[in-house]
Amino acid sequence: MKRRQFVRQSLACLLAGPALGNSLLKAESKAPAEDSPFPDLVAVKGGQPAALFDRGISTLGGMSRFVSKGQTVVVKPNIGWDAPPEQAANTNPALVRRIIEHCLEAGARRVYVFDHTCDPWRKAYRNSGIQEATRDAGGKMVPGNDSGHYGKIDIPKGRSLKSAEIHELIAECDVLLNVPVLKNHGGAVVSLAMKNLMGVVWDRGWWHRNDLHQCIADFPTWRKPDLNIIDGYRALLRNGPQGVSVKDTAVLRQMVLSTDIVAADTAATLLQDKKVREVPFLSHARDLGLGTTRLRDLRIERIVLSKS
Amino acid sequence: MRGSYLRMIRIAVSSFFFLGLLVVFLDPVQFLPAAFADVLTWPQFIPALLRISGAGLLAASAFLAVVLLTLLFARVYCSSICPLGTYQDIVARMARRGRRPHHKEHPGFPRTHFVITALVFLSAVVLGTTALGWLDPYSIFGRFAAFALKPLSTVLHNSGVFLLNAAGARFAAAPMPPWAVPSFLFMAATMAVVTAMAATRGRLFCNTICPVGGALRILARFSVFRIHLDPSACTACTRCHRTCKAQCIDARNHSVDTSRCVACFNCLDSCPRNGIAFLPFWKIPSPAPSSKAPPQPEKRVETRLGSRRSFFATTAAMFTASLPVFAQQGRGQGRGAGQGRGQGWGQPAESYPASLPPLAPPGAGSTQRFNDRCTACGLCLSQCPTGVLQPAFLNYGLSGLFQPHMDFHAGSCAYECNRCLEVCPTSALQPIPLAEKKRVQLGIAEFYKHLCIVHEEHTACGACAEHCPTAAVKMIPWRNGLTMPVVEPDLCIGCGACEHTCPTSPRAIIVRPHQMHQTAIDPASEPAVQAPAAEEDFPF
Repeated sequence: MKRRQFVRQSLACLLAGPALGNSLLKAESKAPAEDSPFPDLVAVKGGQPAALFDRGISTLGGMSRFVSKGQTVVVKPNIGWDAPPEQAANTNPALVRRIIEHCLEAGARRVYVFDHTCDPWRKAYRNSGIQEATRDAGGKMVPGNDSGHYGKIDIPKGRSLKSAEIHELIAECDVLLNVPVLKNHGGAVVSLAMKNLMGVVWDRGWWHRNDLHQCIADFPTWRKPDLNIIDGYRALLRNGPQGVSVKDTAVLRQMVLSTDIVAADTAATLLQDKKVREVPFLSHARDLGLGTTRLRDLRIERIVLSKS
Repeated sequence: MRGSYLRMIRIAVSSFFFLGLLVVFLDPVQFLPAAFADVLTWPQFIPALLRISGAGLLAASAFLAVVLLTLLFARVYCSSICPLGTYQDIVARMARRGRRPHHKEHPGFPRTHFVITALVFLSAVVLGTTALGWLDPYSIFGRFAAFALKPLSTVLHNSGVFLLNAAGARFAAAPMPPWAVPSFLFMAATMAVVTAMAATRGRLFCNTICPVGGALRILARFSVFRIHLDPSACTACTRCHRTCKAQCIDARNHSVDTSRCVACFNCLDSCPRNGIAFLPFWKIPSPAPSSKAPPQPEKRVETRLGSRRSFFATTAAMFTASLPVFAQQGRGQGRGAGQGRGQGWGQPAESYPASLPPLAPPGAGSTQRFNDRCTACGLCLSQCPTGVLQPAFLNYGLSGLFQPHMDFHAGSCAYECNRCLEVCPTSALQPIPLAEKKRVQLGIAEFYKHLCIVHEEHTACGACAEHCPTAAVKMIPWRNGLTMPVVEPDLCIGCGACEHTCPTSPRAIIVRPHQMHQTAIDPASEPAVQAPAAEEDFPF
């Protein structure tokens, strides 16, 4: 849907709330074929964020498998908190930069980066380092804390979350790359790929009020990200999702990449020494057909760049 | 120095302060550093006076600088530093358009001015800053900027954003600034009076009501430089009258009332015979025996009031006004008062408060100290990035009328921010470093399970713990894999993040304010977390 059309629809529905329409139901986009030659999940460890991603994406067939020339891409990291990169409350800026570079090399017309932050957004954007990284890489950072940029969508497959106000870019973009940082979470147990999508909706409090785990699983039924890249370079293992100091973090130098959002989250849950049954939204999402928690059913490529 | 040069300097300085303060108040992104606001508010008289109770001689430097400036150059402050002065000049200029100026000489209202000034400063001894803040011209201007101009500029800004976004841009609208009806009405009433006076009589407010004017006019009578009208050059053509904003030139008696002159220098170039000049006292001849009529009786009364007696009386009043400010303790030290936990989880339902006392911002030290120093100028309100600072009405009672308080329904205190206390002109909020501000305990959070989603709906939440910057609120296993929050009081800093984000109404977790701020313990004192030990490279 073009931007002007979206705005006109929004204006027309000012009282009822702007609606993006059912035509935008995008549960499956660019899903790889079943007999794809590429692995379902790639786990890389032992390198810097850019190196981990380079190896991971090439194992998956290169960014051109996901981004075609002239397309609009949204890279959705964690940028919720006014915290420096070493706090691991937000995604590593070096990773965001590398991802944008790959997208532009694959021919993307525009790469957007945003999050609906919890802390004051200008400070979160700046102090996370992601604003500078995005600018350096040639991407465009846009604000996510203005309700005027959000429009209503329906989520018919949702069991709790049946509608939401989402950022217009999520409806408009051709490619959605989901780039969370690996964290634990006081309420949701872990904050990974599915939890990261909470940052594209306006009313997060509604999810907390109406069965948080079910809502986390419901949302991706509207649109699954084209690729999930879980940043485990520096992980927040205690007092997440914000953390109190760097003492809550550990440098794991790991990364998980998959088009299967449930499998990616399952792998990242195991990386934190937690069990699938401890994380209700994993089984909810599996039940909704969003992916699998049985990693042994998948073709997994495990790569160690260096042992140290 | 030529009159036009003095006038240009005056216009340059007054533009710097006036426009600078406007930019600081109206800036939607706090683009400018706090130090810029500090420069603009440093010489403002009442804030400078209130700052004296701070750390020693350095804190008194601004006040002494203004006193010295006035003793040297008369009331240049009123035409250059005071933003309300510049506002009145603009109003007077606009009101004068198309009309013949008819400012005649006028004896002024020196008695009224003295009484009001003395009352205001004396009231500060007993009642804290309440009346002082109402009539402080800087604070009047601040409230005008905060409650009238800023909402307007925000609407304009957001209209621009809307139009640009419709054309394809992706700008963010700015949130509407803190605002309340009582504060707005009070500001509107005050500005109506100031504006009406300025439109009809120039600087009437400055010479009848303003306590800063009242204090400075006493000093101005002894100033080294003053405006002087040379009787031998005067033909009573009244050209100088028409330029005078303060109606303080008496052409008939060839005198200028220095105590009312606001040193705008407009008159200097108006005299066709160069009869008016800004001269040091040694260049001013003592009045020769004059053949003209003796001064009118009113003048003699006026002279008496400008006597030594009133000078000492007003000075004494001004210093005693600072006394409660000297006497106040700094902010309290010590552990947070452990809030007794109810049986099981959090507090019992019965102790849920019907209402809570107001919570003063960080840096205040205590509610009492804050009420005694804040003039409700609105600067902190305009700088707060989360909107947690809101204008109170009677929340603090009369001693804190219109002063800001923390409203956790509007926002919460950003952990990495100390903007409010960096810019506070009176040091009602002391400019402590950010690391220290992060340990100030404004109050302590209390959890009420009977309102909590987890307890009532048996679904997960954890929004409170998620937003807690010090992990004072932690999620602890409850039952069926669910977790519920527990507050560790010594870690809590009362920032309100938990209360603000709690998705229930009424909130299941609220901050109980301290009257005297305490200090929380270091939240980062746990040892570093252990990464999961893995035998194989990957656990899958």
